[in-house]
Amino acid sequence: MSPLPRRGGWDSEPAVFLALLLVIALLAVLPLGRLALEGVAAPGRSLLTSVLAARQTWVAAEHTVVTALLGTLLSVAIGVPAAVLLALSDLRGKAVLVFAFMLPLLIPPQIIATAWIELCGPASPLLRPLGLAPRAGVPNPLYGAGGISLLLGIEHAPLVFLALNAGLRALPRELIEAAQASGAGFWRCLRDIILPMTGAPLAAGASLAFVSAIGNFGTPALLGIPGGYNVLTTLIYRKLAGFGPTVLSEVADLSLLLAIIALIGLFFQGWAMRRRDTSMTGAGAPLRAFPLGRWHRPIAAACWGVVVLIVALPLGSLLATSLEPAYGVPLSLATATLDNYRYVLFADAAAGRAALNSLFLAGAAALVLPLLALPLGLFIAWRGSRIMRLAGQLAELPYALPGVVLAIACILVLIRPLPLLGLSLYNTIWIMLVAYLARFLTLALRTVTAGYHQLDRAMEEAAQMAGAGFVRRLRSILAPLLAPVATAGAILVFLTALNELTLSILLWSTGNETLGIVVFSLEQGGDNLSAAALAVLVVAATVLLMLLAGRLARRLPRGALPWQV
Amino acid sequence: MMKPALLAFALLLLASAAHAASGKLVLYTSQPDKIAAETVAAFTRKEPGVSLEIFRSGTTEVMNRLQAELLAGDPRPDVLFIADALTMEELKADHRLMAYPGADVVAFPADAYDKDFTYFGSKLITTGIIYNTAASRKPGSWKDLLLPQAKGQVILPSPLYSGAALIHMAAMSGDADVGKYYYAALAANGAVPARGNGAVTSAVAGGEKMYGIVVEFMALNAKAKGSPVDFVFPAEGVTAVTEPVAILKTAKNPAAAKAFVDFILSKEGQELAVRQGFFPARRDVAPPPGFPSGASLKIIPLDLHRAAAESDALKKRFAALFGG
Amino acid sequence: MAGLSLAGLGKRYGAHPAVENATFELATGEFLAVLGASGCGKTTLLRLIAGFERADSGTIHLGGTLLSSPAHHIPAERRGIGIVFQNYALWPHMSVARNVGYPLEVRGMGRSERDRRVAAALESVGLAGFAERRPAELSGGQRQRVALARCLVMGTKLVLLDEPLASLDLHLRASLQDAIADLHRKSGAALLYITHDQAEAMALADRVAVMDAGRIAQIAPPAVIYREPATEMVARFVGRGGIVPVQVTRAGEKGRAPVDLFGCPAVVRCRADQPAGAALLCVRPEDLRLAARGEPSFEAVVKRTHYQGGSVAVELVPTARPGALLAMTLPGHSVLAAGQRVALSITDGWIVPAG
Repeated sequence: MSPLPRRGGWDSEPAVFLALLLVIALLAVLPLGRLALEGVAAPGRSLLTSVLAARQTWVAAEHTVVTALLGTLLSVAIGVPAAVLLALSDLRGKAVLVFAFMLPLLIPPQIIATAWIELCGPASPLLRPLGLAPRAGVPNPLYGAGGISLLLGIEHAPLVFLALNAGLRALPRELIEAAQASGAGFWRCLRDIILPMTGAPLAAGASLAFVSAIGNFGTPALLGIPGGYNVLTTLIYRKLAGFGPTVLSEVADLSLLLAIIALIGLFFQGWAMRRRDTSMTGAGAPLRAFPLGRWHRPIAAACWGVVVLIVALPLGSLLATSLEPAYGVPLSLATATLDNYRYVLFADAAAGRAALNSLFLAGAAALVLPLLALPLGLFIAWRGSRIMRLAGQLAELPYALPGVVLAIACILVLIRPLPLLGLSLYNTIWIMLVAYLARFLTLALRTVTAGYHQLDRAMEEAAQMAGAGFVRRLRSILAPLLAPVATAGAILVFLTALNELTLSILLWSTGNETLGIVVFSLEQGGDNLSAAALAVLVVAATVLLMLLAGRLARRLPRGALPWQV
Repeated sequence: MMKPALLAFALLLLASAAHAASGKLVLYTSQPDKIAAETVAAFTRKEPGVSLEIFRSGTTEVMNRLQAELLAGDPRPDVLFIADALTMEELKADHRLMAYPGADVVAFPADAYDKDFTYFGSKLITTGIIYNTAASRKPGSWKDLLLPQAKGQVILPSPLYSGAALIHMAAMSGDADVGKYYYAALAANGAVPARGNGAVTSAVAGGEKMYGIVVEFMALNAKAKGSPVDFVFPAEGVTAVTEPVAILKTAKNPAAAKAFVDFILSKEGQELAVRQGFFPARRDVAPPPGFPSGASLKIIPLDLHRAAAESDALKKRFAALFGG
Repeated sequence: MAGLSLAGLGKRYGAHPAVENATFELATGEFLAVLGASGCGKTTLLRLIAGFERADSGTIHLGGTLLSSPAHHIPAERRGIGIVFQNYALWPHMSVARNVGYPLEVRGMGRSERDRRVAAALESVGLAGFAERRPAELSGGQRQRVALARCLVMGTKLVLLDEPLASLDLHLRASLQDAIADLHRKSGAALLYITHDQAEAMALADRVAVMDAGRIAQIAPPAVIYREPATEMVARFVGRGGIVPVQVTRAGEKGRAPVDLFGCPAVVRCRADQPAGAALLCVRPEDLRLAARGEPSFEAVVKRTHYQGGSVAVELVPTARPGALLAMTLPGHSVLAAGQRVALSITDGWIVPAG
């Protein structure tokens, strides 16, 4: 065979590397750095006079860490069995259960919290018939650390579930069969082979849950304020609710503290994942499901029970509220009405506009971020680049810090016209897109990086050998092989961005409102019913979208969508 | 002979045309969505030459955005229309507000607007007691919330998160009748704080708590829609916030801004507020039906300057009493 | 010579030198096996040549072009070197045809020309008609052939093979060895073949480089490696036999020297400059035989025997040195029991050079 010409041209890898560094610098470092300049970092300010010296701050910080750790533990306790059962066993009704486990991401945290408050209150539809309801006048048992941790755990369990699910489906059949041949039953297999080999995606999901927990505002706002239990996010919001010359510097300082906690959590994840060579040669033959045998019924019952608790109850309460004629009027067949839906769909123009805006922003973020994450993950996981790893950690911060902090930072940086283009992004939908990209980058990056840890490097090396340049390797080899984790990341981004509130609320302008903003405005104005109707419509529309995506999935690589069984 | 008169008339016409407002007006407001939309629509009908660009959200969010813009050196709004006067006082102390001495405040009581004409109250939003119709006892006074029947059944908005709640606390603490230990007594009786008036209304309407301290229009709106709640103007009196409007010193379109203030303070603007369910601030406009008349409404007085000076201490006291 | 040339090549991981001072030349069309135990650095050497690792010292030239040096590194995708991986590294989401044709796809070759070359390559490795299958459907041997076809299609002049037969079972290895030999012949490329299996290396290669702890201990044709191992490690690693201490009674002359082995005198091969004194002697199975009556001999005890079909492999322990182990091959009908004392005589041997 006549020899092929040796490939010429330039090596695109360093160019991509620098471009990515620039993107992260612009998205994460620039806004937050600008804000940090208002805090302790500002010239002339000292640590002692800052809010970091106040005892209240450290109490709140301790509460943040405690509730986040407990919440993460619960998320793992829910997410891991769910992922294992749905990826590895022969449980029936898997597609529906997978859908159901992802839904808490779609429901705004305050709705979940409200539903649970009702559930545990004196008028509880569940506890009162059982005689277990607390007496009227007794503070709701959910107020405080326990309730906050419980709800944080429930809200973020889907993060662990999605990440681990993708990792489990990537396990090659031979590895498990080898264990079975050695005499290992399901539990030994799980303990010795499966969980260690999926350590990377599990750690990614768990640390995502942790970071989400420390940055969560809605849940501690509803469950912490009544009991006087403060966390850093509510403290930040409280500072912002006052107005004065010291506010932004205090906010900057508190944000710094939150950022450090987030980075410590990240550091632990990195340390736990070091030196773990669990790479495999890509998707092999599909797994044969573990039979559940006589455990099938009780396990199925338990699964559906958890689904009911986590998803059906808050959704049911939401649905019930949306059908009420007036808030607090007990729902019955006689009183149920569709007026709220009529209002939202036809009378209020804002809802339709907001839906389009949210779809655009969430969709754009869900498309762009996994594309960024693919080369980023490569540099972090396979090239071991220390700079990139640092950049990846910095990319955590826009997600860990409260949305309002990032929004302020974006305003500070983007209100002026951009240097070369002379346009200002402020008051356009583009400033929101930039903020969304900054905030959710880490969701895509975590899942994709974990995917790289599971993939055999020989996949890329063989392509190098064949002469493929960097971009081509990413496009034709790595992207298809990492499609499952990349889509998991895209879904995470989309679902989280669709209901996003705290960023949008400061950055929006006329005509650019998002669904979260419309729901919030309705609630703030006392119109809980229309808010509930809109929230129900959003959930329904998203479920429809996901079903549609399932149809189109035939063109995607196998295992791309988590509920493709 | 006619020529000078004609000339003068033409000049007058030209002058008035020049004074008619036009251009873009940027408004930042914390009015609820629907109400803000109605205000904008009414103003645009009156001044069709002005295109109104509006940003609306909670007071906190509006102020955060404004703060960030001020810090970046590029404040956008011409007019601010927000819920509480304390914040306006702070803005005034920061020299951010433009004085408008030409505003027509003849029909307004003296305490409805700033004596230096930097901000003007547009309505009276009073805070009273909301109660669930299933409650064992209909409250008539603030002291009723301290009774054993109300133990653990009261929810109130937190001054740490709501400017209006802060004003309420300042006024109540300064009132001789209710006394400065009122909040301590509330805390001892198991009252819990909530983030804002909306949360209080939901909690009482939903039956989680029987009694709440909340602004009147929210309670009455909920009642009108059919929620099982009712509102009481307590015997000792109510506290009031005036939802002031102000022009920023950095306004890019001061003429249109002044026109907006004029509209809010005009009889037309006040009648709009009444149609929206608010107490008017003007003495010569009748309140909405079902509200106590202006004369019989007992308002607990508040010294805004003292309240501004005390606000930190008040917040600390609240935090110490209710946790956090 | 348009071949591969390494000079002083070195690579460290932290304080640990994975490859140290590797120097050799590989001529066009030559088949070089790199042999060594796990951890000896042979894989690192391959990855350095492939361009997956950067050199800390030394240089790599191919056809006169500098590929690697501490200051200069041409990335792997531009070296045009074919690689066959131990785990085949076939892309599971692509068909066999696309896997094989990928190097052509990357260079922008047209569809029809590509298909033609792919078909020819698949035919060469005996997989005609497998074009549309997926790697997951193939057996290990078939997958490795696909990997070979991928190298063939590149028409490259240097192919690196990283223990390509390690994952295959014995009788498959034989047929894959044929396939590799075929590849060698048809492409005329130089082959650098990494393995820990010395029988494989000796059977396939023109020259063998034995690596030990990052260094190349010896590089020579298989026969030389076998007959004249340069170090004790090479002597032990390659072939059967024993290394025993011996006394060289007189300095070597014209490649031979007299020695005293456990009191038994003999003349063995040695290096031209071999001095007298204590030394190590490499004794292959064919160098030993049962002593005839009256022949100079030494005593040994049979430790174990293995029947091998036509012959018997015997392990013996010299009485004079119970710590040493010797190996011998006897005809298949021989009957020796473990523990039996025999007299051995030595017909040849090689004095392993010191140092």
